[in-house]
Amino acid sequence: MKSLAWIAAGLMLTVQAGGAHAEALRPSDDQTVLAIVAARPAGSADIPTNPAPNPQDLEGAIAAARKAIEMGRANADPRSYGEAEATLSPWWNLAEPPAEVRILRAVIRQANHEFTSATADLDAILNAAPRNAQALLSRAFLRLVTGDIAGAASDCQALPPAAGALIRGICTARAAALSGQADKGRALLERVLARDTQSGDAMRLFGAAVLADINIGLGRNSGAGALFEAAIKMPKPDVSLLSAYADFLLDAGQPEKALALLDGKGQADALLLRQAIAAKRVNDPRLPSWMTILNERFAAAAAAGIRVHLREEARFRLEVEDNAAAALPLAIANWKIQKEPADARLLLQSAIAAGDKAAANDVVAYAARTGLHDARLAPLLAQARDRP
Amino acid sequence: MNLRPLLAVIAALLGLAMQSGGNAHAHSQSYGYLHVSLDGPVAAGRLEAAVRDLDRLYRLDSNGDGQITWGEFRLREGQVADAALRTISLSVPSGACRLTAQPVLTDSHGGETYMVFPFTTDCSATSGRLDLDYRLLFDTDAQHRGLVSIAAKDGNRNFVVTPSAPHVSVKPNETSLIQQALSYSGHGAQHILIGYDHILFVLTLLLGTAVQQRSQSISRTFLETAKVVTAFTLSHSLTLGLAALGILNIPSVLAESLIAATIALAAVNNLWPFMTRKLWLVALVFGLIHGVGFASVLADLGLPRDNLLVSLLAFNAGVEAGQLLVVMVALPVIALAARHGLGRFAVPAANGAITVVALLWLSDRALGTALMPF
Repeated sequence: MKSLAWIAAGLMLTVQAGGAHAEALRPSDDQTVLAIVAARPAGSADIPTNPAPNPQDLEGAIAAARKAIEMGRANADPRSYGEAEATLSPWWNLAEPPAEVRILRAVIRQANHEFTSATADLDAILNAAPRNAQALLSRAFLRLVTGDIAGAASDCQALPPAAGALIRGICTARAAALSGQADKGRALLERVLARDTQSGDAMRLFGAAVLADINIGLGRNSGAGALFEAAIKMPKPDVSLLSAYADFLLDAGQPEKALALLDGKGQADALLLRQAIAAKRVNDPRLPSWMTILNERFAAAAAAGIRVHLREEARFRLEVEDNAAAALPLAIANWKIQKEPADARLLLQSAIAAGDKAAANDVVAYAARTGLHDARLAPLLAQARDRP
Repeated sequence: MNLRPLLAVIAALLGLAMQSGGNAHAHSQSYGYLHVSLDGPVAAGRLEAAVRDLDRLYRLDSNGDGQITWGEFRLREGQVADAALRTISLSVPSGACRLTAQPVLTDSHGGETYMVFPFTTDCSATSGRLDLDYRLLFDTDAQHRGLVSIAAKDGNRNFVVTPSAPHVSVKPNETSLIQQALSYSGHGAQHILIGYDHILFVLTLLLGTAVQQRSQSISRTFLETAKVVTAFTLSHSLTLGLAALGILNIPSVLAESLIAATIALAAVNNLWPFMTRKLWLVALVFGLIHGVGFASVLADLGLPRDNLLVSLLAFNAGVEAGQLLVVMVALPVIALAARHGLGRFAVPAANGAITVVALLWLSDRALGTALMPF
């Protein structure tokens, strides 16, 4: 009887375990912290109603969307762009939304790597108002990302003086650096940064990051290192600066320093990727958990058809998983969308590591066509060209 | 370089303040997960949403200190679970499904804590078509994506839902009424075969009958046993039906405790017939309580609103089949033992042991002790 009962009890347990989600559990401690969010005033325990955007209140919606985009930038949080889009929903699907909405739509689409539709929005705005500074600047940087360097340079040139000398300098210097005139770009940006007195911290931070990147491309690593050191001491170094500095440290063979730099800076995709790369090089015990998190995010993005992470995922497969065969198709797909030096480098590295140099033919041709010269790319380009 | 500096530039150009609010714990895109299972008798599933996303909807950080704790969530568990489950809807050809929230769990995806909202429904899992709507966060975050998976007997299906396409419709292989009835019969039989308290009650009655009938003919013994089993069947079927249809409502703790008590009383009655020597009467009265116990199992299993009656009858038929199996195996053994003199010691000892076991169960169930390992 007893053994029968034990068998029965075992059966019931098996049935229950089979029915439940394998990992899900109910915390036993009320002090368990589930998430960290921005602190806010107490006393709002009631379920807030989320009012649908009011189609009559265009100005309110634009202000709210701008605020959300700003939050997204400040915290490198993709969710804020989704909030901005939701705020603009009454106008989002219009063929010809009001110009103010359209530029925000372009910014959000750009953040989602929907470069074709973002370009269409900006082109339409500039067809109607060729001197629109916001649209010119957006399109200039979009073109820098998608590899239309000549188009970007002409947008930078067309920027009205009211946009500010520093931003025009950053724009022009970046375009110069990506078309074989890095020395000229560096001199210009150094001059503008030295003269600048009116820009805010975030803008100066951005200028310093661009200048550091140009220095690295020129092989002037000590100059770049000094710029990064100065920049991270400024208030609120952002995710892009931290990523760029971490990459610099990784290239310089200082993974421990990269880990220290990123410690406690949060788990944005770009930062987590660099942490994982550094952790792999020094056998840090946190590597497996970081790999799990990144793999889960890539899997969710793939399931949802979201392609914002292509660059990060390709680099993860290549540098963390040592899986060039998996990295190469991702790097190829990414190169079709983005053509920054980092994308070129990723495709060259993946193609060489996978033993398929021909896969990088397009990068070789692109560098020849645009005159792109970058110290980080030169040895890889030489290797890719060197075929029996 | 990446795109984000561009946004800094745009923001600066737009004249936005470069305030440094927020925190560095930014993560990734917002995803929700909805799993629907059509494997069981009724559609069931779970909705999983990131704690940060639920905070955007329902302000989980009640004290505003920037930390969302399980204690904070637990205080509003029911309210949040109901609100979250209202953002999804399921329906079958006969109408919309009523979702019943189960206790909330936590899980983790991509480095973020997720709340898991399990639910059951009153929709048959086998009605041939399921329509589903998911809008969890779409009004707040237009880039939120719902990853929907539907598990049916003929395979799993995965979908992505978006603000412009929040709807999913699947047509899993339709199951015939007969297959559905067989499935419920299987659950009924399984329950009695592993429901050791019901088996022990039936065995106690068999024991009593065998002892009473030990000097009668074999056929007489079988006839008396049939009377007892029939009485038990009639009465537990009655309360099973009433409880399953919601007419009779007895708390499960009370029913479980009373079931233990019926076993003890029946065993003592075998030793000293203080209630009655008519064991079919014992079976008839106590069977009413066992029926309520069967109904709670059926409630856990779920009853589809469509073809409710067929499922109920099939479940009951399964219980009877399981019971008959127990009787057919046990009766010859017990009857032979009673006839060959083992009755003098073994039968009182067995009744005594059954009484002790049942009383321990009673204590465990009524008083919350843990005297029995099962």
